[in-house]
Amino acid sequence: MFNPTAVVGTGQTKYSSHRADVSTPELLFEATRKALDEAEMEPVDIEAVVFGSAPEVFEGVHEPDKWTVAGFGGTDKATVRIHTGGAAGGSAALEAARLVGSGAYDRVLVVALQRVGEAPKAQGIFTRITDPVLDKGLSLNVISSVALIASRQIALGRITPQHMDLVAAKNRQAGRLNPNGHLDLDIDASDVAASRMICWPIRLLHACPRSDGAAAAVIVSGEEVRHRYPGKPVAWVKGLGAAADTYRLGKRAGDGWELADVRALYWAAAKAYEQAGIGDPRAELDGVELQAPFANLEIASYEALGLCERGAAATLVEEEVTSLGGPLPFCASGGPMTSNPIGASGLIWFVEAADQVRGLCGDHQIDGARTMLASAAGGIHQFFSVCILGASQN
Amino acid sequence: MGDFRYVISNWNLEYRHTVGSAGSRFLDGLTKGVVIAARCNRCGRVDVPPQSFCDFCFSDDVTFVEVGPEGLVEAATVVTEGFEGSPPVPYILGLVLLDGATSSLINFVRFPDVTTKEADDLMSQLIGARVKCAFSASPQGLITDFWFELVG
Repeated sequence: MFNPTAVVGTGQTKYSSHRADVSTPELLFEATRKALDEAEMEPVDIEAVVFGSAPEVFEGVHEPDKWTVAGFGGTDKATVRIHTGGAAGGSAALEAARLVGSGAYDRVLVVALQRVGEAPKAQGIFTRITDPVLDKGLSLNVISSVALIASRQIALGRITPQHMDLVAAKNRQAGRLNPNGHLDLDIDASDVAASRMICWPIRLLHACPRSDGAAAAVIVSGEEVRHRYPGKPVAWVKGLGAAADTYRLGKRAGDGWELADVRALYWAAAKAYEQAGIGDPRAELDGVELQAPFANLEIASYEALGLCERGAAATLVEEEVTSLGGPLPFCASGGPMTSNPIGASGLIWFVEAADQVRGLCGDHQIDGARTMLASAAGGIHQFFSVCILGASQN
Repeated sequence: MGDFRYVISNWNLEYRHTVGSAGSRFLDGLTKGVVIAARCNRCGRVDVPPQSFCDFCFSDDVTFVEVGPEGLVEAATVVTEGFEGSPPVPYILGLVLLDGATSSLINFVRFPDVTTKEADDLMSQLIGARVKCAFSASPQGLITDFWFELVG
């Protein structure tokens, strides 16, 4: 049972490689204040707070929610931290929506934060999210694992590096229109193809930047919408879904599944579509914001989200279906290739989707967007959250 | 715009990670030149590295078996940009399905002339190829006691 639940206020900070001007609680305050302003609330109006951030190894402070509580007005409230790696922001949004949809609370704040810039040698940190016992010495990290997924996609004939170049260029160009975006890169596919190789087939410009940033959203019950916000555009939560996959990449195939299928995203989306009553996502969605920090993962998501047959995702790239001016834009915000404060990112896509269906996205607004899908991914592409947001309650 | 202050700190922590008996059989096996997997007697999956239970069907009725020594490269990458703690670049990681196993595992692939070959050539030669496990003469009880090499 899920009662009517809606997003009534959102806030984002400007993303950059390092916000040297604010302490961490102050960074969170920026996003929270904006969300509360839009929701016409003060902290006293909030009943519970869900806080999302990914490995606190980036900030180097354990229990960051305890430390930054001032920045989200958390005193005298029930608070809980959600941590699903890079999906943390998205999982936090789902948790906040469930707290309202289940009837436990009427007014919940969700916030998410990451300061990747606090750890100058962030790449080494990613080797500490692997099995320290049986993977010791392999220096496995996110990028080499994602490269293995890309390798499998290429081996199966589903993509070529050129498709990755096109997707990366698409997202960089979209990001230029986002005033909060970290990167502003006027590049095309040939610039991507010429960038240096990091881990075959992934080149520098196929990958995300490391960003500082925070986001926030106020989620309330349908009753609150009726009483407090008559006539105000809100974003209704139509469907939620989440799924985890195995830790080891080598266990994600079998039973008809391929590693390249990203089956846990498929599982998460199926649950969200069922709740939202979406039978034909390609026709019924107006746009998608998702956590694909590397270009090959975005292309795999077209299939995992049921937007095309297996093996046909490359065609969506070639036909520019998912470009900002196309019929089903992916990452109109510029996505994680533009800004990626890891633990906050999932909430940023949720916020962007909520802003799209309320017509608040300015230069990167998708015309007539009424149904958006927001998705987050974390761990080594292991944890997934999916949320469908709509402009109308029914 | 004034200068901003920073305060420096670092973590330097040591851990003693528990391997468990199943993992120990795997690492012991590597020191003896064999790859040990766990066959689930309920669903038939053969997992490597082995665990005391099957995480597909959640049974704890498993038997330890040898897999390999050869297998098929399902995916590979060559890392050309190093990072803190990485081996010297370039190096190759392969995702290999060993003969007899139903799950694949990742390890280094040692490939002659890796520094002189184009990545695209290397990868097209390696992906889909048969490889064999090669074992260290001075094992340390770690997964790096073995690696993959092309067969033939």
